[in-house]
Amino acid sequence: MLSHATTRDWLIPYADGMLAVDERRRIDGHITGCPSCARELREVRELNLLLVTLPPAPPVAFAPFWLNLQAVLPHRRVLRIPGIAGYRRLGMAFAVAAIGVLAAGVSAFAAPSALPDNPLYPVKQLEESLRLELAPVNERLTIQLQLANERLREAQAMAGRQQPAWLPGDHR
Amino acid sequence: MAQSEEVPSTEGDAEERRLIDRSAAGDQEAFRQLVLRYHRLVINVAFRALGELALAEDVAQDVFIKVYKALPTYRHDKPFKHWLHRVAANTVTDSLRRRRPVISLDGLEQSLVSAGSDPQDVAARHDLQRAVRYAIASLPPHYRDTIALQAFGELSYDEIAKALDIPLGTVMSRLNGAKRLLRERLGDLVRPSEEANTA
Repeated sequence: MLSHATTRDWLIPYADGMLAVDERRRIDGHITGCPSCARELREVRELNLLLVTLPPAPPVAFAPFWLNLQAVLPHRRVLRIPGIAGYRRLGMAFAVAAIGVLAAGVSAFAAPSALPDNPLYPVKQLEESLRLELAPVNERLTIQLQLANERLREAQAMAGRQQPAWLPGDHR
Repeated sequence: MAQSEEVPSTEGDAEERRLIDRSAAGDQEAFRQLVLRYHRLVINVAFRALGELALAEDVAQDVFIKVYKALPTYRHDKPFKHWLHRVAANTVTDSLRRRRPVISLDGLEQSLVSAGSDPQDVAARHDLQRAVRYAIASLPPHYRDTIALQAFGELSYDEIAKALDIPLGTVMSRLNGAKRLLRERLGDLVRPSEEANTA
């Protein structure tokens, strides 16, 4: 014969149908002679009835539900690993940028000493024009003197190489 | 015939796994198909918990957003459906707790069993169901999560054990504790009338 306390502990799984047949028989045996446990079992069943009779949802159309959901779904996690073509494009972009930076650097360093027959001489001329244009008015005379000295240096250098000190275009 | 019945299940599992993996990688079309499979289930859990369809749809949407965000951490060692049930139960009970009104249980003594189709009975039944929902929401978290899976998710003890990843004995113990507390909190609402006793 089960004790009163043990029976009460097992009433909920009993009402949920979770006990084995022999366990159920033992509970049944106690309940038939115990009005208090019988009343408690009725309360447990009343509660279960309340829980299982919570109504199910009416049918819901999927399309509007999905559209509403899709509108608020985060777009943050599209993990697209670039293929070979993607990597190739990325590599080309880096290569072009690197060549550009390198060329600009070489030009900036090499152009100031270029002579008229040097391919970088137009860069040198451009740099000088910009330097003159951007300089304050009171410094322009100084810069013009520097440029005149530079023309003289170029002429001497070209003469040292027995070449005329004028531009290749003028030579023709 | 027996073989042909097993094949779709395996294929279905593989297909679901593929949809999960693609959704985890951000493929919204794959996620749409997952939602198509489970939206009824989630809306039903939310509706049973909240009792209002518009609200249930909003909460179901929250559930799927959580799922979408958490999919990269999902492991296939437990069924997706159980994992989804757990997320749904947590989300709906959180929503219930946030919305918990002050409900007076006085005047709600009419039992659900005796409630008929009379408008007064219907109103009383709705109030009673609301009281039950909020009583569940007020339980301590380990009881609440367990009984929410039974009451709102309609899961068996075994399914609850799998969803929460706990032993069956723990499920029994938690449901026992949860229902004892619910009986205390619902008071006369779960005390059968003398008519019900004799019926």
